[in-house]
Amino acid sequence: MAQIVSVFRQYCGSGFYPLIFIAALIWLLVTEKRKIVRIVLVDASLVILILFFLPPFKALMDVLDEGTYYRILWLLPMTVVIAYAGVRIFEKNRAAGCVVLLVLILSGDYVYDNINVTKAQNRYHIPNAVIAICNEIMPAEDEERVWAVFPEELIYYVRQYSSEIQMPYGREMLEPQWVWNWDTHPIYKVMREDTIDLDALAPLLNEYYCHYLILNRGIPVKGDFEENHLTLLTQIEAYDVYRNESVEIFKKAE
Amino acid sequence: MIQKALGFGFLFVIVPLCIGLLWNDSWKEEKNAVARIYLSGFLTQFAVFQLIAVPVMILLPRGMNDLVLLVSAVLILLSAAGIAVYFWRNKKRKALQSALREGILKIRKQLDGMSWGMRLYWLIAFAMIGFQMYMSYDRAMFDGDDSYYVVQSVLADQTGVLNRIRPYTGLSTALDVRHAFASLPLWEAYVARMTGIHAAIVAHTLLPLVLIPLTYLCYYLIGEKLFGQEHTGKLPFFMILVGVLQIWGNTSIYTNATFFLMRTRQGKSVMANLVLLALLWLLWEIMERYDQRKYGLFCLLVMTNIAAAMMTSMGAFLAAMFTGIAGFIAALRLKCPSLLVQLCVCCIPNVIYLGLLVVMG
Repeated sequence: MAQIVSVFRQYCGSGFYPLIFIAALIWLLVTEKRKIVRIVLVDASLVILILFFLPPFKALMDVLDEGTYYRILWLLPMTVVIAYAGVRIFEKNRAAGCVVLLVLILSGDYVYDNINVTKAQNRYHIPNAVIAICNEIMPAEDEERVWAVFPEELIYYVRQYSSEIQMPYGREMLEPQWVWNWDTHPIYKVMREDTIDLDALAPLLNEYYCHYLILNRGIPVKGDFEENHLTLLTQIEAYDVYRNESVEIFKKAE
Repeated sequence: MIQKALGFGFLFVIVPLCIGLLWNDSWKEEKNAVARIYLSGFLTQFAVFQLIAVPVMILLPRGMNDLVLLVSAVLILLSAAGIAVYFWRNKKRKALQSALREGILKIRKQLDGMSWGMRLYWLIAFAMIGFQMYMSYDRAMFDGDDSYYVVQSVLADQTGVLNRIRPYTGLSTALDVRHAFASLPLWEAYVARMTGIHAAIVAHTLLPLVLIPLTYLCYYLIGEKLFGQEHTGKLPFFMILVGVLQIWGNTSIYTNATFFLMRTRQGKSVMANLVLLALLWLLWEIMERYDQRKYGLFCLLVMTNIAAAMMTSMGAFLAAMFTGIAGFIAALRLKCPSLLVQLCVCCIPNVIYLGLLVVMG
């Protein structure tokens, strides 16, 4: 039961909408007279809510898909029920309706203030730097796809732009909750250090046939680029793009 | 530019409206039939894609070209069938042109009958929807899952390979049934192919501009059920409240509102918002006319259930669960056990889909 309450709390987060929904539901349970409204909005919501808080139901859902129990709450028409109750209040007293509106705004969280929302730099909604780097290292039409190692902040975006650029590891290295593969790739183990050791990295780049290395200029590097056959191709925003001369770019078979 | 306009017009205007005409008989007496036709056509388009995409991806690993051809052919056929059925049913009543003219006249009449206060409410409601659409275009909403789903679309579009490449790296892999059978990323690749727009732009910029208003259309139809169409200001105030609950609904990463506005392009979001709302509205329609034998509505419910399976592996289960619960309560309250049986029959595709997941997953 504690787990279920925890899932519910996590769903509520910093807001009160689910609690406002429950209050609206109870009110509609008492006052709503129309049969279909009761069936679709009130009774169905009540049954889903009761099911959600039943531990055997949680156990069953975990068998089907563990870690997604919160999605049962998606079945509750929270928005419709709260808005409907709000209109019913508005209908009786317009000032009270406006208070409801204000309460909803103040008890909620403005979505566009979220840390993950930024001004789009282009229509791809991918950082310009990623697009410029990808264009720089993109194989020619008669060349095979290339492999490149990127700093972790760019990993999410690279292959959203082009399938021609491949990476020895991707997002699976960056998610600590994915314990089965997080932090397991040898190149990532070198790349995530505070100082990147080129002497350790270069042999791995060769072993994994990586043609390019992209480094964030803000992260210190130990070792000599030339000795490790890494040639600076270009600098794009905060990033240096290196060509690993030890790995050949192959032409496509005729 | 011409391909973009033609592709967009075909997929987002002609196909939904024409295919939706197949279900027109269910709402011919309703005032806002066009909205219902459009929504039902869109849901049917999703279902048709899912029904074709799953076998194609199993049988043809490099089958993107075949998928595009097959889906386009079936959509054209169904659109033609929709137009034919409409004219066949309406030969003694009215032609499409006069129906459209009548619709425009109705809207004008409704506008003329509105008070200024009500016009203001509607203006605020529309401004809020427009604001959300603008923000979805102007703001990049980062989500780690895009490096899986959007990349699957990019891969299908650029390489023609269906779910056999690891999105994170580019290495080959076997079909990951659990994720692949939810074929929305392939539909996004299909949109990219038809419009000639990069799949990442389709996912991040184009689709929110379609899916956000479409979801509000569902809210509108539900609001219409709740308040009717009288000029009382209730419906536009309902829409304003819905808008507020979406814009200020980012109280955690799990809420429908967070998914709706921050992950609009992902199947989970479409499931949690558009599909479940459409299901709610459709069940309402069915229960309202349970004694009228509107079989078209049940067919549309089947389509919606298939569309749910297209969005996420859990989609088929969630849709069936909601249908089952609402159907059970309706059977008791309306004293109509056959309704529960009919609704359960509509969930057979969900059971088949879940069975496939278990067998092949």
